[in-house]
Amino acid sequence: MYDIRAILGRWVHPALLVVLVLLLTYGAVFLQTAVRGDGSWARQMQGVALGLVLMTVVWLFDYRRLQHWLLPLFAFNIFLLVSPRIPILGHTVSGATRWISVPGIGTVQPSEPAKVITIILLAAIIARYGGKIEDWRTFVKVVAISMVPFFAVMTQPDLGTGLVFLIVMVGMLFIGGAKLRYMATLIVGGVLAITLVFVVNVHTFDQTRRGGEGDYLLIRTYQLNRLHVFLDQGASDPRGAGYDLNQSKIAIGSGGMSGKGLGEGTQSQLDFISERATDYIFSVLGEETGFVGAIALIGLYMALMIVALSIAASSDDIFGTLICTGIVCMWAFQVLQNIGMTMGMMPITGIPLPFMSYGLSAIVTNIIACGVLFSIWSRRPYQGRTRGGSHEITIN
Amino acid sequence: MAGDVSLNRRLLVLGGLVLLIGAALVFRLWTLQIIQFDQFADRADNNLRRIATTTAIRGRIFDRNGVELVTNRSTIAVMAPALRIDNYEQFDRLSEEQQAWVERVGTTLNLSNEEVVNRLTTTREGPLELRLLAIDVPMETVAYIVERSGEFAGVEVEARAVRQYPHGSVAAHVLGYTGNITEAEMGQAAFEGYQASDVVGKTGVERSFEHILQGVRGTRELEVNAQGRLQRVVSETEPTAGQDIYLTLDVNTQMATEQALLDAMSVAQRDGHEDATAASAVVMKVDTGEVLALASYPTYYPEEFIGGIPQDRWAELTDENSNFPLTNRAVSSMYPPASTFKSFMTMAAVDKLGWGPNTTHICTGTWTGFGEQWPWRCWLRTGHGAKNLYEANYNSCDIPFYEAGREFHLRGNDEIQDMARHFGYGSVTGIDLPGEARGRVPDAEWKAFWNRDFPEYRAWVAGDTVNLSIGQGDMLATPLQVAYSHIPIANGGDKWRPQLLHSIRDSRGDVIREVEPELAENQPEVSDRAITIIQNALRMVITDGTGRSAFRGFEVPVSGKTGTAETGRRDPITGLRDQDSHAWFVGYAPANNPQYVAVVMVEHGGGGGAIAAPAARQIFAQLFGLEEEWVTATDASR
Repeated sequence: MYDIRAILGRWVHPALLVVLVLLLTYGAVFLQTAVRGDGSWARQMQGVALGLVLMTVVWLFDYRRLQHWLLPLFAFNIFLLVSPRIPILGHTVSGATRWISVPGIGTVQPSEPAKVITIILLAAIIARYGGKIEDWRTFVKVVAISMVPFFAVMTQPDLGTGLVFLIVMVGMLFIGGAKLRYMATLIVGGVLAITLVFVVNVHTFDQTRRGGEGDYLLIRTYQLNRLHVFLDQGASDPRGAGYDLNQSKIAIGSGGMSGKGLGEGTQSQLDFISERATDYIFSVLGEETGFVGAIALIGLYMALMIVALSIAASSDDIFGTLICTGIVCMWAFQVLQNIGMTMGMMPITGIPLPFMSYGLSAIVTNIIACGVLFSIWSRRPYQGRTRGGSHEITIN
Repeated sequence: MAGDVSLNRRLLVLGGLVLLIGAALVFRLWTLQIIQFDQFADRADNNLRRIATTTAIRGRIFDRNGVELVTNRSTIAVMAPALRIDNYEQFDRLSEEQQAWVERVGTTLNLSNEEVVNRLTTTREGPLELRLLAIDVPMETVAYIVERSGEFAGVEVEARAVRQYPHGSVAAHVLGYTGNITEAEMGQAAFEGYQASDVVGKTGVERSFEHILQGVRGTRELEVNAQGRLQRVVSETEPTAGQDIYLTLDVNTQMATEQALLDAMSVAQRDGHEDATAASAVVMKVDTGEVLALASYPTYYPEEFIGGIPQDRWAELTDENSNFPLTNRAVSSMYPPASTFKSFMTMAAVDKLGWGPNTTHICTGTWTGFGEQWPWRCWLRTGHGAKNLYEANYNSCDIPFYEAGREFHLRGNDEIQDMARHFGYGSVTGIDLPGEARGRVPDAEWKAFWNRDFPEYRAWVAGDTVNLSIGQGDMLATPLQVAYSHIPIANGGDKWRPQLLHSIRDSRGDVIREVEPELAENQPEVSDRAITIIQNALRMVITDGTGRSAFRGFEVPVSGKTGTAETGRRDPITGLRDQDSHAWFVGYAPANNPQYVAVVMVEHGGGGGAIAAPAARQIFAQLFGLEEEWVTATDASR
């Protein structure tokens, strides 16, 4: 018979489990009481259940085997990212083709699971260099391969997910031992490239050709508007482009210290907040649970990410460390971008808030990511303790 | 890789970044939720709180005996949201769907597309307020709209109280009409605190007692959602209905007065005075100044103004060809008082010139008091012969008054003007009606100002005084002033302010305020002897003079004076008068114990004795409960 305590000690990371349970509970309670209606809660719970099942499968699976599946994973990932563009599968909502129809499940956003797969892919690539990327050729090669998922997701287009990929890549290159000089060059070069794209577009595209309403070549008019709203904090067009930002700030600000109570937020419940179950769920939370509730959520995120980083540090396998790092970068950026957007700290981009926003693909993906963390934790070097003394248990 | 120093350091850097993100988010949260909380809490409140008002039921208007003159009835108004264009010229900018909607709404409500657009592009209301499309919409139409709410998106049906006039046009000029407050009115101090959607009194007592009738609107604090839909009522204060007012008018006297004017005009027209299309009359109590009737022709129906009068109808009502039916001629129109003014000349002559009943002058038809080169004529060209003061009055002979005028002119003290002013000429009487005219008592100062651009006409000359002596020339008075000035003559010297408001009551009929008769501030400075002499003279006008024909056989003794005012308008080519004279009659009854004074003025009606006096007789007949037919009077006096 296995020693239960030994097995638990080996497999279960108590802090991660607690934080995950708290986050899922917070999300479930909040979605039920604050967002209400339209059956989104029941569907979200199905997602949680599915996520937990998949999490267990992933947990039991030895992540290290994935290292050898590089090519099939890469192909599958690209397929996922471009699948919304495939005519029979694709599903377009308000100008963006980000969904595919899956019989029996409904619409799925493949870029969500692709985030985790991309992290595993990048980890597998970077891990090959053993934690040191110390020559240019290698760095450029790694960057070039890592950019493929980014370009794939930009075909949808989905700038938000694309940015997640870029941030994840930068974070993983950093942990993967890339020279700081290379990193600096990459970041500076990236910023210059984005600026160049902006300048070239704004100055060369004949906007009048489509009556002033047309899109720019690479950057769309609504994206420029969002940038403008961010820069002047929605002051110049409070009923138009700046409406969501203004209403969101009013919601959060009027929540005060302890909030207006679950389901009692006037901004949220009387439709001043649009997309209150998805992109702007934090505005609802800020209004109804106030500073206290918002801090609690941010605290949970911090705890989750620190735990993930501790798992990264506990792994004796650079592949596992890199995967943890990628997951942390993914969550960190999504939390910063989503919450920051609702408070005017970040430009508006539709990125879901992990564990909170309504969305089946996202909740399943985030729980699976936790499964990956558990899987990595379970394969760490472990000195199990038994009643009779200590001995090493290895499970492969 | 556990234990790798460089890797652990990098992981620590990443952990630090993560915590930094958390710190930044918390800092921003702190700023919004704690530091700027008040500001955002206010903005959240403003987002969803709306103050809606409930209009108070407007007070009703009754006559002195509690007969309803203006009341309220409920009707159905059709409202719709404003269109997002400025005017009909921008109709093309509406989407095809909206254009079809306008067309459909218009067809259903019997309005042209232009009218629909005009009503839905008004700017007085706030952008979110509904605009009034039509009022008094028939039930079938309402049902049609309600059943097809999909086709009539945004159209709402609302119950409303509007004015009702049980007596139609009776007393229209006293009552006045109501209408939506205008932007100009909103800026006036009198309408402080009013809202763009308020209905206010525009003219008549509706206007002068606006603040009594209006009531206090109720407010409802509403919570709305982002689409402006009502979520719940936060608080509500009930409106307080406006107070009812009881006027001094007697609806029976009013109707008799209006009928008398109609009769007078038709008789005048039948007798060849085809311009006699306007007339007015005032009936007052001589012991209180209460107005029992006040009428003006042509008239209008206040009902037409409910829900806003159509523009073409308004143009019609204010057009010269319709002879200005909205003007209250009894208080706003000025005419030469003509021979009715001789009473005041007589009193001035008695008091200042020492004339008495036996002061006699000889009328040869021509008077040359200022020399042979300036002959003045009596209206009776053949002359009246020797006339004492009474005879001069009751025959309305001009010569003695020319003579008095000459003497006053030589004294140069404005004593005629003073006497006129004592009795209320030249200034407003202060009746509670908007638009009262002051009239005019001409004197040297006035003439110099009037002719300031014509130096050769600036000087006050003897002819001016003599003209004034017979109430002609530049002297002007309103019919109300003529009635008002005869109150002290009738009652022996007390000048009572004209009173229109009898009492204010609440909707249950309990008296809130009873209005007491009030003596005018300035009482006439005149001797009892002068009043007695003129009382006698006015009685003799009816028994022996220009009023005899009209009042023959009348059961109640009447005192009075006829007047025939030259209009001064002459045909520019022939030099002949191209319009008939105005007919005046002012009188009071019973002569021995006066109760009522009545004034009748028929524009271009011809002779006062033939047209105005019989009308006054009709009015007195009603006042004393006599059954009377129109009396044909023959009198050519002036």
